[in-house]
Amino acid sequence: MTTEIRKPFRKHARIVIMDNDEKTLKQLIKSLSKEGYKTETLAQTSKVFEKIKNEQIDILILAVDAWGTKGYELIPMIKKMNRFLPIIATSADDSIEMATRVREEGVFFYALKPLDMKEIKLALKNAFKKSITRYYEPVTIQKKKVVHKDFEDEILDLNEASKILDVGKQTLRKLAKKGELPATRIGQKWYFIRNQLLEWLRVTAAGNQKNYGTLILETMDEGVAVVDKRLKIISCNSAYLQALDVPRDKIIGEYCYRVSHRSMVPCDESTCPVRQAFKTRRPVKFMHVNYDSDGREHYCDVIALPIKDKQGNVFQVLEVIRDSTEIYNLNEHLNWITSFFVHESRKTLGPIMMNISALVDSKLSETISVGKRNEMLLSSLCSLKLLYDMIRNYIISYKGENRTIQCLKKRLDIKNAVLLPVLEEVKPLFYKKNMDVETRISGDNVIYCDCDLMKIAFSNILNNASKYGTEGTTIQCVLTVSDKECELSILNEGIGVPRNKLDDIFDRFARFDKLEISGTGLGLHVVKMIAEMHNGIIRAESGFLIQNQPVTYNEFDSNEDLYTMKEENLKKFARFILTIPSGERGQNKGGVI
Amino acid sequence: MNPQKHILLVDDDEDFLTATKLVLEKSGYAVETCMSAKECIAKLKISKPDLIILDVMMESDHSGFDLCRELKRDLGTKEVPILMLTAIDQKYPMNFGSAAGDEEWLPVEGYVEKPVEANVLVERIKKLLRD
Repeated sequence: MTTEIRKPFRKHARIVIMDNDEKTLKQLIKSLSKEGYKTETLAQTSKVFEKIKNEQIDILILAVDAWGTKGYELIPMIKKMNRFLPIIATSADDSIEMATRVREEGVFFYALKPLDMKEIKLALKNAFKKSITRYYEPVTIQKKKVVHKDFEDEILDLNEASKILDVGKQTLRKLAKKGELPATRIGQKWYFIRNQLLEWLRVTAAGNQKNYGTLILETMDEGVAVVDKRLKIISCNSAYLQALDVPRDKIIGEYCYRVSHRSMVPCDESTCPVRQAFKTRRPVKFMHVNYDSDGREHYCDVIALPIKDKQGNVFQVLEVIRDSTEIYNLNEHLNWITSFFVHESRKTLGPIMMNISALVDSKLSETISVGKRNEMLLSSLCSLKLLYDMIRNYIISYKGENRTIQCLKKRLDIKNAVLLPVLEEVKPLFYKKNMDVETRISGDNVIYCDCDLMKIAFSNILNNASKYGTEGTTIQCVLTVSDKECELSILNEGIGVPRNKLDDIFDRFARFDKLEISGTGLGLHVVKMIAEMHNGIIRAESGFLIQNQPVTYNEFDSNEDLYTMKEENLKKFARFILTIPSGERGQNKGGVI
Repeated sequence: MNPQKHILLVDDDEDFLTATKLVLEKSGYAVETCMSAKECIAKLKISKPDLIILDVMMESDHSGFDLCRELKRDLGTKEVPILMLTAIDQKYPMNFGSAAGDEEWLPVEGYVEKPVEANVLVERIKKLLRD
């Protein structure tokens, strides 16, 4: 991709409008022309790609619902061709789904039809400002400390170009003035585009071995340095500088261990790939921890490749640094997750193994009464359910994070297809804790949702109530269905949710420290995920039960009549409320996330 | 017949406590249970058991380790054998090293990995108590 550096003027700004609604088109053209913008319309989606590829467009106004196609699907493709092009999306579809989808694609502004021209003009003004910022401050935009990055369109100033080419600034300026070097002058400063610069170097410096070597080093994504026998760095590429976050003048001629390890003494020969490569004359690869100027750790594969003379003696070593910090951290995270699940599974299997092995041991089981045996079996069943839920929640959570769950909404009877089967499923858990469920259902119960996912959400909320509820108490389950929404509210008496945890409780792996109950902390996170798939929400309330009536923390704190009550003497409650839209009746709305 | 031996079982998993207590009682031991380090210390002040079975990770990742060290430092409980229960897999150690700290490996008399079968646990206890 090429990015032209030019000084833009408002009157030259080219706005391309893609829409098939004549009324909107007329309105936009008339209004924007008055403002001095140059507008152009496009009637075919295929033309937009040609336009972006061949011409300079400043802003694109795209009707995402035009031609009956999913216009938002064009956005990623347009972004691939010109990621800086501000897109103003318009649509007559006022659904949340459309708004979310369009915003997710990363448009500059999203406007609903009929268009509010004041709003559009303001958006254009801001989008235009963004374009100007990009043109005038190219280097700021590229100030990323990322090593493996697509550098194609990086804009460089004279200093940076000089470092990359290893050519003096004066010489570069002369070449640029003569027009022998691809460069653009803005004010007093020269700017260069990295890929153009390297292409120029490739063509003009093919015969010059020194520059050709620089070109090869610069072409490599990884940090590369050439180290001599004294362990001094004699040359390096820009990626090496970025990896270690130090300027070139502080590296050349410096000892490699001072630069990469901030150490005053050479590394031990056995752990230094460069020294090993000098010694063994073979390529050597080690994992090293390097530190950047802020002291942050970087896990790097350090590969040392010996450079030999005609006699086969190693006179220099090419040190390649591959920053594997991301992969290392990912591995660490995977290890942590695996450990976590191994631990939770083994812990949950503990009582199952103890109970079952006691029951099959003839000597032991003889001494156990029938009532006790049933209790042991029930306890094992509950633990197995816990284990099953844990696995199920982990899979849903994992798939949700990877956006590979299908949310297939169908018209169904939420009471008979979801709530009652789930209550049956969780019965053993309540039975074990001698808990009752008081159910109140109102409305006609027909909603649009994914039956399987909704069962998981309901089951997780009820499981939660049984886990953290007090033995022998009653759980209140209220299902209310209206034309607009379906709400499930589950209230249990128990340890409640601490004031400061009400918002965090839906986070992945959230679990309080001293609950004395096992579980992965994924259940409620999965409920939140499922609620969001249905454009719904889940919220938590907690507080005190006063004369058997739930009083939330906020209500309690603001009620003067309750000031005399001591919190530690009061019973607590937790309530989870899941609300999802009932969906449009008579229409089967399927969707994939 | 030997006098009945007393075991203090410390674990934060109520289901495991219930199941194990029953198994140990049916195997002839007197069992007391507690679910936290604090409760355990309080119970030890009242009476000294013949054996403590202690879970490595209770309320927090390290509380089993900390409690174990404390018991072995305390002259009153130093001599009571400790059987450490763990659901930690050696292959996936979950900060096992940092929990154990720089000190030597925990001064316990034995380890049992969860999940454990009833007869295996009873055999380990018998060996430790020289029954």
